This record gives sequence, structure tokens and C-alpha cells, in this order.
Amino acid sequence: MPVKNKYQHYSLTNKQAARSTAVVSHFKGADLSSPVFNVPTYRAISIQNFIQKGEYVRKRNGYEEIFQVGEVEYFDKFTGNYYKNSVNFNGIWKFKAEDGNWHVVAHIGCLLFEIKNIENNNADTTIEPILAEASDVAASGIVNGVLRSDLNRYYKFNNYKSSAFVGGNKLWFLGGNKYMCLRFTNYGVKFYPVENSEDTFIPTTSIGISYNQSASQNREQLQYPNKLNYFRKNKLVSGVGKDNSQSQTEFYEYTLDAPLILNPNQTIDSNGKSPDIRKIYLTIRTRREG
Amino acid sequence: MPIRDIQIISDVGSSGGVVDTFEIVVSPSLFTIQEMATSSFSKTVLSLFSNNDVVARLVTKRNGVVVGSSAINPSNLTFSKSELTVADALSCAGLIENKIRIWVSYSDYSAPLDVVLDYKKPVKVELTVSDPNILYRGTGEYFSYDSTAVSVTKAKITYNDGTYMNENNPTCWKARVPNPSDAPDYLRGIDVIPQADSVTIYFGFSTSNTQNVSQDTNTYNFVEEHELTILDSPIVSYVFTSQPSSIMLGCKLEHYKNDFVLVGIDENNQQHVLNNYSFADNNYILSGSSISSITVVVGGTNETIILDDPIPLETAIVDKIVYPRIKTSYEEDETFDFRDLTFLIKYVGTDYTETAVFGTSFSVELRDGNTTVLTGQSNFDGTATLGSLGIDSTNSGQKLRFTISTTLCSDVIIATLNVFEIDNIVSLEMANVYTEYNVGDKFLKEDDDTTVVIRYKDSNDNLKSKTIRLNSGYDKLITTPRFGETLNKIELNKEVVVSSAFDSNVNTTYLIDINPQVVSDNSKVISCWAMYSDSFAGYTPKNGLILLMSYDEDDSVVGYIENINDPNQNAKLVLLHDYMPDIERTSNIEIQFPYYVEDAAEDINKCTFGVLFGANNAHNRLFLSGNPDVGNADWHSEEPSYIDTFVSVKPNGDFSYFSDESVMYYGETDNDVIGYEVVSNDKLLVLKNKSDKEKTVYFRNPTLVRALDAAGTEMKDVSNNSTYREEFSLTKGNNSVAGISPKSIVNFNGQTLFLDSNNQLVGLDVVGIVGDNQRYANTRSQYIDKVLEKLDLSDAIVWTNNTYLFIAIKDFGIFATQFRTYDSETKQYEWFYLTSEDPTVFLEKDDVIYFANDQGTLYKYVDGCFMDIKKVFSDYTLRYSTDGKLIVSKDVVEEIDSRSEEDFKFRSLTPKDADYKQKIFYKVALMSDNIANGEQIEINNTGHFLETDLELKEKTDYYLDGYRESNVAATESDLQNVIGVKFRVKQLEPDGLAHGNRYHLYKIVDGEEVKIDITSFNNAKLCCCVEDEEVDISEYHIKETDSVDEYNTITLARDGSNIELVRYGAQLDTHLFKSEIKSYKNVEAFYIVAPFVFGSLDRFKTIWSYTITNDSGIPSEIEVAYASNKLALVETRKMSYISLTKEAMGISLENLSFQKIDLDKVVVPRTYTFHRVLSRQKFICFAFRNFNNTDAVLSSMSVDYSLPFPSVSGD
Repeated sequence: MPVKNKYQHYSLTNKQAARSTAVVSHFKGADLSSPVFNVPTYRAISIQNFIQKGEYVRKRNGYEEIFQVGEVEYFDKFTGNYYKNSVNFNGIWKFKAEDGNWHVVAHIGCLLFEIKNIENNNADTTIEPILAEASDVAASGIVNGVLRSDLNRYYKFNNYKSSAFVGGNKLWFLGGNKYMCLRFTNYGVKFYPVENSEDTFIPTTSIGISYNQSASQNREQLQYPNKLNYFRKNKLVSGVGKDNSQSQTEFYEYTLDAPLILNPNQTIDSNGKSPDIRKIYLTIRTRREG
Repeated sequence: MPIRDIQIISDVGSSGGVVDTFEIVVSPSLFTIQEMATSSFSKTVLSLFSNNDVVARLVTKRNGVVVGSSAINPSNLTFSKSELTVADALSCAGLIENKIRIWVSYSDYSAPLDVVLDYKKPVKVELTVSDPNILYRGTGEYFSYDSTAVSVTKAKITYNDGTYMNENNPTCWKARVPNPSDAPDYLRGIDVIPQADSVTIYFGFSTSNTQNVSQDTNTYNFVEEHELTILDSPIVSYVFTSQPSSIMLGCKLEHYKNDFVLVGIDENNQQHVLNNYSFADNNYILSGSSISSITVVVGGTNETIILDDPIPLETAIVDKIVYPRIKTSYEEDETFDFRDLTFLIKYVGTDYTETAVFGTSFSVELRDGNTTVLTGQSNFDGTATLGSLGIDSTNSGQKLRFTISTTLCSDVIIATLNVFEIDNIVSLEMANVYTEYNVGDKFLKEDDDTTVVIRYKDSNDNLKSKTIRLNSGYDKLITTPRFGETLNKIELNKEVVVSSAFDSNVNTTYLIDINPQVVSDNSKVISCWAMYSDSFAGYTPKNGLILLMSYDEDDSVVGYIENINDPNQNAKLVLLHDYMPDIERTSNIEIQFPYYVEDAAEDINKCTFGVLFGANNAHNRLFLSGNPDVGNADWHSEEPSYIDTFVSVKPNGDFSYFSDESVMYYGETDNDVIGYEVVSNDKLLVLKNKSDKEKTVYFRNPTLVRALDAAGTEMKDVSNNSTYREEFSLTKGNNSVAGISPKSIVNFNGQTLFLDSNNQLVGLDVVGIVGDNQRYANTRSQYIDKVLEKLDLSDAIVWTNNTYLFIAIKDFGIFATQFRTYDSETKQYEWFYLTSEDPTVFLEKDDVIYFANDQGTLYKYVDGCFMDIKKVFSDYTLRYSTDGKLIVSKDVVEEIDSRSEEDFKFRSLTPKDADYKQKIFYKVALMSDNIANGEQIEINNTGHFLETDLELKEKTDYYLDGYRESNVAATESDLQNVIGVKFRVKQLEPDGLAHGNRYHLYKIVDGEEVKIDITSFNNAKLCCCVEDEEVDISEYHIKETDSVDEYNTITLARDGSNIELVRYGAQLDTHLFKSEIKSYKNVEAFYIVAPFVFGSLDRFKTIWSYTITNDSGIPSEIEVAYASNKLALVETRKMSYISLTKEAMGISLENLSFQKIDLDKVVVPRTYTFHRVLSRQKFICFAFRNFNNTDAVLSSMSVDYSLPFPSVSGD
């Protein structure tokens, strides 16, 4: 008895196969996680330089090199030591400064740079470290036993991926070792540690301090001391009359809310002044006599 | 075996000396060939010897004395040059200095033979002229000569060899007068020759027909002279046969010259029209009614002609009156001096002008509309204030009217000046601002000296400006606040708006300060300065004192501070007097003093990251953390309210105030805070490092609370108002997902996303009804997590501009997504992989994305560009090599060599307007004035045309350089002039102009199309300047010289051909050029679509065709390929770098045959169908790519397929 051949095959010719159409549109991104045959046909299983732009997946734009930063030799403004700066970018920021212009600033290696004319397609793009003071230009120092006077003094910061923030048209920069403020004003650049700078806020820690043995005592605490400024202000009240029950003193003595400690690293000159003493002041408002 | 040099030294015998010195002697050593120069001239050197014109002998000497001599058979001689040609003749030109040196060799000996090629040339030409008595006719200064009436009938040419020839009726002759500056160089037909007592005409004969190649064909030897004989009789009278019908006053006669025809009549009553005359009177005609006679100057003689019909004179017509440049806006009390006015009056048809001044030629009146208000005043001296004239400044209809009478016009001319014209204010600008106001002051008070510059257009649209004080009450300006308004509120930096009354959009602003009015009349301020002193008034405390001295009262001591530098006691301020506060019981004394604490600021100084955050979504407080010494803490800035006796200021964005009280310690361990981001609902997310001991997600919630002091008493400010503190209370999150670094946490349009320690990009989701602080971390990177998990993300940077988000991963590339791809159902983004340069920082500015990396390179993405462009070199160090290249450093050459797959472009960075010495030039071709020299460019003999086979460009500047060419025929001064000679060319159709067989003919033009004569620049170089355009480096060469001076060069190429750089003019080869070299590499993009299985993998399908569609309308190109494990692999281009997920795919994509489709037509949709039957496929996988510098768009694709019906074999 003949055995019937059970072999099956698909015929292309015997009968017209029904044609179908599979359509892919709305191409999406890659699926590099799923097994390949589980990935829908609108996704890529391998992809390079295609990206969603508007409604379509399109080729990415080319990029153009604008500037190659060089290694800057300098003296550290903190320590005076000689360094050669590395060129790795740690941060880049733009901000509209007090001079009304947009400035681009970058933390590269250990220094903070200003990038000028970044949009001019490198015709006159410059990247130079920001000087704190004009006198830092061509400062002199010893490098490998040789006196060099062709290098500048710059603030040296930590070499790390840093952060900076814009406030009041100023850039507040975390150097990792110093908290800095960068200002571009109509009078030039100001770049300084916030700590104890002349622009750093001085809190009024107490108000209403009246003199000892005064008829009334109502001192109040107002603001907390500033970690970034060891100066503080006290407000006093005079003319409140002495308490007759207390023994009278000739002068009017007020106890302030903290010890007065001068920065021990400063010296008092022959005129009785030091930077700290110059910043001590007293203002009295009083009724005009007569 | 080494070969040695053997020297024979004989005995010094009777004959003595060194024996046997051989020499070859050629005689004569200087030989002149005189031949008729023809283009086919050539002579073999051998023939000189064969004809015995020159003989070579071998001479034997002994001890310097000739002992033997024998002629050498010419056939045994060899020559360094075998043939003398026309070209040799050209270079030699019959001059001994330019002789040609030929080396004659025989055996081991050689001798020079100098040959001068001299040609048979004419030395004398004698002419016979048809009529030696040449006549002229005409009169006056000039007369005419008719060269057609007389001709040269015979030329006798004598040659330098004494022979001569006669040429009858030669055609090549010219006639001219002695001084060509008086007449054309050569007389042509009837020419005008200046008159003289005796005029000689010279006849010249061109020797060009005699083939003397050294002669320019336009050069004539003038060998005959003949005197002219007068033909005509002199003029005896003159008459105008035509004249203008009238003449306008104010014109000159010359103005009408074309209307006059002057005729001279000679003795024979013959008329001659005379053109060469002038009018004796060259002045403007200003008066009279007619002209009856005119004097003309003919041939230097005045001839007065009486006109039969006098020409009437017409009254002039005033064209316009030019107003004086004077101020046209006046204050009422400002004096207006009419004597300063000068009107300029112009007339139609003449350039005669006239001025009118007050008192003599004009009077003034004031009119209001059409009504005369004021008509002069008795005893009016010309000066008046507008007020005194009765001009009302508020009535802009009033005009000053000037009545001007002129000499040429009998009419009275009315000129008017608007008195007040400011009704079209264009702009306002503050010139000087006063800012000091106190509460209660009236705005624009008396001492406010603020001034404003008003720019306005007068009725003639002229832009004018006027500066006024803002408080002058000028009613065309409106201020906010209003003039005189009382300022009631303390306000710093209050904006004042000054605007035009006509258009409020024309305005300007400035700021004033309104300070509290506390400095009343009955209060005063004593300001003191400080100094250290050991004692005061006999009181000497241990640590000394700080004395406080008044600035105002002669440094008198007001008080002192004691307990200096004593950390155990608060400082004590001692005042010598009591002071009554100006306002009772208010803090009236302020003291500022230091309380130095070592390293107090270090907590803040060492912070490494932070975030701006604040209550009510204000980002006005700076939170700082990342201090390695206190890693689990942060601090935040506080509002630095300046509580001052005078004014309370709250400046925004001052982050200089951090108090001890702002510190927050997170969690139970010292595990570090890793980063921040602001999440929705006004919360700050604080992430800590991964830890299994504590939660790692924290939130800070801002609240305002009343400030209490240490004793719990409510704190009030100086005005006794409650003070508030911001508090940022801490809430713990519910999970332990941990961030990696502060640089991988972002807010992507409100979604907080960060890379977590499980190598995923996660977002925090509020799910179900859990509290807002209970958020679940969910991956947003599911589609790429398999890849991310294998990568080191510790240095990865996540950056967003809120359109795109980039995860930049070192040594890998960028995973990018776009915000609109977010699927809120699956909470997934679509991910794309981009090649990159390992960026570590990003910046977006003006819609351009910049990035930079650890190699110090800054890049930007360029819209519409699909090439990655890198600098290879940019410096000042390039200079010319001696062989037409640029010398660069070895590094540059090596770098270019190592990147052979990229294109390089060279660009000079020298500005276009720089001095030529700083620019780079290259040679286009050498120029010659004779085609036979075989140079690429021939100067046409006119000097104004170039003939060449080269294609020159009409819009390119060409330069001439001949500075170093030894055989340039020009003089030294010519050469100096060459530097900077710049011209352009215009291509001409080669027409009848004589030129050789060159393909192109160009006219030389400079900017104004003026011809430049470059005839003398034979052998000069035609150069171009690299700075005019970018140049591609398509190939380059490295050349090494000796080991001391090794140098590397690059060769520049233009349009695919190398160019030869030349030093131009006085350029030095030591000059360093600033330039750059960039490489261009196409962005290589591909997209491999997941395989089509059409239902399941277990059945075979037939693919009939597939169609690619682009409905985007974006010009693009794409290449398509397919792969299937079933397909036989065709060896084509290998895409080995599709290795990203190759292992995982299990599909052979090793060999893909791509077919290119240009979808660059702007026809939407554009489709392309591949008809290809692919039978028995289990699946098919398509790949798209674009490796060109063009865009590529994936729009849609359809696959036409069938599932065949099963059939059973053997049925």
C-alpha cells in the first residue's frame, strides 16, 4: 500500500498567494533591552546618530570645534605657588551681568575662565582665566629655581565638576575650596571670595541694646551671624535715662552681643589701624541741639 | 677592490716640469651667428665646427708651455646643447652679455664655447614721399592735415651687414608731428595739428615686415621729415550763424555755447566753422535786458562780434532757498539774532547762488496762519526774544516769515521758519539724572537737575535734538510719576518713565530712590572711625582700646570699645555722652565690629554643589552641600535684609548670607548628600548616596514662620514689625534609590530625573493615593537599560535644555531623548545613540548648544551641517617653504596623515584688509609678452589683454609679482609699482584682435574698469591671494632636508590641483602666517529596524517589494539594505561598527548591501520602491544609513509580502 507523502510546502505558483502590506511609520528610538525578535518594527535594534527632531527621526547635526584651550601657567593667588593648569572642562555657565551683557564663564582645570565671543565661530573667540586684580598681571615668582615675571596670579580652585549659580546678575561659583562671586560691572570685573568681602552681607544681630544701668532694657536678637562674614552690627538705644537705683557711672556703657575679636592674621599699624579696625564704625543719630 | 687616484709625477729633467697636461681649446671662444631670423630658424652646433667657423683643438702642455696641438675631428666632439633655436635667439637677443654657453667635450676634456646669436637687421630706412610740399588748410590755433593726400612711395632699408633693399609703395608707414602731446601719436586721415610758425611732419616706417623680432610692430623709425606749406588764406571776419533765442540771468555765456555757431570767413569769402574758441567774458550775467555783442577768443585773439539780433536776457527763477543752519527751537526768553541768519538762494538752470542777510536783503514778520501779526518793529535791530516779538510758544501755527528781495528777481520771496517744530519726537534719552528723593518730596522738585535729550524730526524730516531740564514744565513730555506729584512711599530704584506726549511708545526710563524722610531738620548724624590705642585718658586696660572718633567734630573722641580680643567677654562700648534719639526710643546708634572665628566660612567654602530653591517656587535661596568634611549636611542662604537706620533694602540674588542656623543634617548616618533637584509642589529633593542603613530620598518643604529669638520671644524689626523666617522642614522619602553624582540629576520640564546606583535613569512618580512625599522611583530608560548596566556611569553627565536630554557617557557616546517622545502610559522616553567627543559640560546660548570635554576642546552643534568639524591646527607659525608650500610642525603633518579618511580645509586667519606682506599668495601662471616663450599667459602687445589656455575667473583679484625675476624687462621703479597692482579680468570673445592660438582672451580691468597697462611686466607672475577664499588641503607632502633643519610642509590645493605659493612683492620667507586647518568628517548615521517576522517566525514569507516614503519635505538622502539569516551574504561594504548590540541581535549584519535613494526633491510624499522578490524568508531586517554630509529622515516604509498557501506534494 503506497504511503502518501505528507511533505508540505508553500507554493508560490500553484495558487495566487494573498498579498499583504506591512507599514512602518512613526519610527521611534532604539530598544536595546528587549530580545531582538520582541522589538516592534518601528524601533531600532541598532542605531547611531539618528535622533528625534520635531516629528521625524533624523540625522543629528554636525558639531564644530570652536576652541582648544591651552595649558596656562600661573601662580596660585592663595599660596603663590606655581602651577600649570589642566584643560579639562568642569563647568560652563552663561549669565547676564550687571553691565547688561551676557557673559560665558567656564571652570577649566583649576581656574575660572571667561569665554569671549563664543558665538563668533572662533574668528575671535578667546578663553582666558579671570583676573581678580589688575596687579595680578605679570606677577613674579620662583619657578623651578628661576624667577618668572611673565605669569599671572589666579585663584586656584579644586579640579572637579563644579557648580555655579546666578543671582543678582552675579555668578556665585563653588570653587570647592572657596566660595566665589564674579561680577562684570560697567567699571570692570570683580572676582573675589565671598568670605569677608566688602560686598558680603553684615547682619544686624541685635537691636535695642540700651546702656548698662539704663531705665529700661529691651535688647532683642534680630539676625543670625553670617558664616561668610565675621563682622556684625548691633543697634543701640541711647537717651533712655539711667536707672536711679543703680550706681551712676560717668560714661554710658553698652554691652555688645559678642566679643570683639580681630583677625589675628592682621597686624595693627603705627596709626592704630588694621584692615579690621578700618571696618569698625559707629553712627549716632541724635536730636540737633537748640 | 677600492679604486685609487693615481698621480704621475715625472723627474724634473732637462725638459723640466709636469708633463702632459691636456686641454681642449675652442676658437674663437666667442662666436657670433648672423642669420635672418625666421620662425623656423635652427642651427646645429656641429655645423659650426663642420664649416670650420669654429675649431676645437686638443692642446698638450708641459709645465704650462704648449708642446703640441691637434685639431679634433668634429664628429668626435660632443656638445651640451646640440641645436640653437628661435627660443635661444630670443633669450640671447644679439647681446654679448646674454651669450649662450655650450660645453664642447672630447674624451675627458671640455671647453666652453660662447655663442651670440646676432641677426641681420635693418639699421637705416630712407623714405621717398609722394609730395614733399605738404599743404595744410584751416585757421586759428589748429589746422588740419590730410595724410591721405600724401604717402610714402618707396622705402630703402639698409641692413647691418651693409646690404639694402628697396620696398616700393610700402604699406607700413606713419606720419607724425614732433611733439605727440600736441596731437595724436600718429596722424590718421585728416587730423588736427597745432599751429606753429613752421610745422614739420615726420614720416616713419615700420620694420616689422623685415622680421626683426626685437622690434615691436607698433614702433616706427621716423626717418623722413617734411615741412608743411600753408594752403589756405587767413580768416578776416567772424560771425555767429546761430545763437540762443534768450539767455537767463545768472548764467554764463559758456552755458549756451552749444547754441552758438561761430564761422570764420577768409579772404576768399570761404566760410570755416570754428569750434576752437572761447568767450572773453566768463562771468555770470547778472543784469541787463539784452546782449548785443559778444567777444570771442579765437587763436589767442579777441574778436568782438556785433549781433544782428540782440539776445534778450530773461529774469532768473528762484529754484530754492536754502535755510540757514540755525537752531529752530527756542525758549521764549531766548534771544533770537536775525543778524546771524544767512539765506542761500539758488536759481533754476544755473549754479549762480546768492545770499541774503538781515537789514539789506530781507525783513522779518510774524504770521499766525495767514494773518500778519507783526510787521517789523520800529528801531528793530534784528535781535529779539521770541517773547518780545509776541510769539506764543503754545501756538504752533505761528511762523516767522522772511521777505527776501534778490538782485536777480524783482519778486519778493517768502521764506518761513517754524518757530516751534517739536511735534514728532523720535526718541528720548536721559542725560543727567537726579535720584535723591525723600518721602514727602514733590517729584521734579526745584533741585532736581535731571535733563533729557529730545530727538525729534522737524517739518523737513531732519533729525534734531534738544536738551531740556525735566522740571522746566515742557508740555510735550509726560512723566510718571507726574510733575509735582508727592512721593509718599519709601521705594528704592523706583522707575520714572518719561514719554512723548505724541506717542507713549517713545519713552525712556530712569531710577530714583525715595528714602524715608528721617533726617529731619532737628536731627544730625555723627559718624565715627576707629583706631587702636593702649589707653585713653589715663585708662589702660589689658588689651588696649579701640577709640571711636567723630569725622565731623575734628576727630574728637566720642567713645571707645574695650574687652578687645577677649573671647570670654562680650565687647563693651563706652560713649562719653548720652544722645537723645531723634525719634524717641528707637535704636539710634549702630556699631559694626568683628567677631573673628577661625575657619567659620570653611563649611560654605568647601561646598561643591547646590541648587536654587525657595518658597512659592521662587528660586531665591541657595542650598549648598557636598562639603567633604560634612558630607551629610547642607546650608542655605538667607535674605540679607539691610536693616539700616535710613532705609531697608532687600536685594534679590545676594547669596552672601549663610547663617549657622541654616544647617541641616540628613539621615542617621554620615552618608553623603549626592545632589538636589526641585520637584513639583514646591519641594526640594535631596538625594543621598546609596545606603542600606537609611532612606536616601529626602524632601525640604518651605514655610514662613514668625521669627523667635533664643528666648522664644518674637523678633521684630526696627519698625516694630514682626519678622518672619523661612524654614525648610525636612520630610523623609519612602525609598532608597540613590543618585550617583550631582551632575546626573536634572529637571526635565518638571520631571526630576537622575541616574541611580542601579545604572538606570529614574524618575520619581506619585502613584495612587500615597502622600506627595511617597514617591516611587521608576526607570525612564527601560529601552537602554541593558546597555547602561554594562557602562560606568560614575562620570556620566545628564544635561537638558528642556527639549533634549543627553546622557553623556565617557568613552561611549551620548544617549539622547527628546521631551515629546515621553509616553505617559509606559513612563518611557525614546532613546537615540549619538557619537560624541566625550562632553563633560554643556551650554545652550542663543539656541546653539555648546559642549566641551576633558581634552579642553569646545564645540558647538551647527544647524543644517552634517559634518563634524575639528581643528587640526591654529597658530601663527606657518611660513613659506622654498618650494611653494607651507612649513608646519611635524605634529600637524602626522595628525593629518593619521586621519586619512577625513577632509581637511585650510584657512588663513589674516584679515582681508591686512597689509599684503601678511597674506599668502600663490602663482597662477607666468606671463610673457611673446607666445613663443611657451608661458601659460601671454600679454597681448597692447598691454591690456591676456591670452591664455588657462581659465581665469572674472570675480577674482589678480596680482602681479615680478620682484625676483631676473629677466624682467621692467625697470626697478616699475617693479616697485608692481607691488599692489591688483586687477580683475573680463573674458572677451576672441574676435578680430590679433592673438595666437590661445583659447581665452581676457581684458584687464581694475575696479573702475580703467585699463592697466602691464606691457612692461613681461615674465611677471600672475598671482592670487589665499585670503580671498578658503583653500582646501586635498593633499600634502612631507619633505625632509638635512638633519639640522628638518622641516615638514603641506601643499595647498585648489579645485583639486596643487597650487604653488610664491613670495609676493617684498614679502620675507621668514614671515609667519596665522592660519588654521580643520578636518571635516561626515556624520555617519544608521538605523537598523527590528526584524519583520510578519506574524511568526515559523512560516516562510515572500517579500515582493518594499517602499520607502519621505513625506517630510526635508531634502535628505538615505541608503537602504536588508539582512536575513537566510540570505546569501554578498561581499560589500562592511559595517563593522554596528557592534553596539550585535551580539545581542543574533542577526548577521556583517555584510549589508546598501542602495542609495535621494529623497531630496521637495515633492511630498516622495516614494521609492524596490521590486525584489525575496522568497522563503522567515524574517527580514532593514537597515538605513547616511554616511554623507546630508540630512537623513526616517518617515515611513511599507513591505509588500505574502504568506503562500500550503500545498501538499504528491496530490
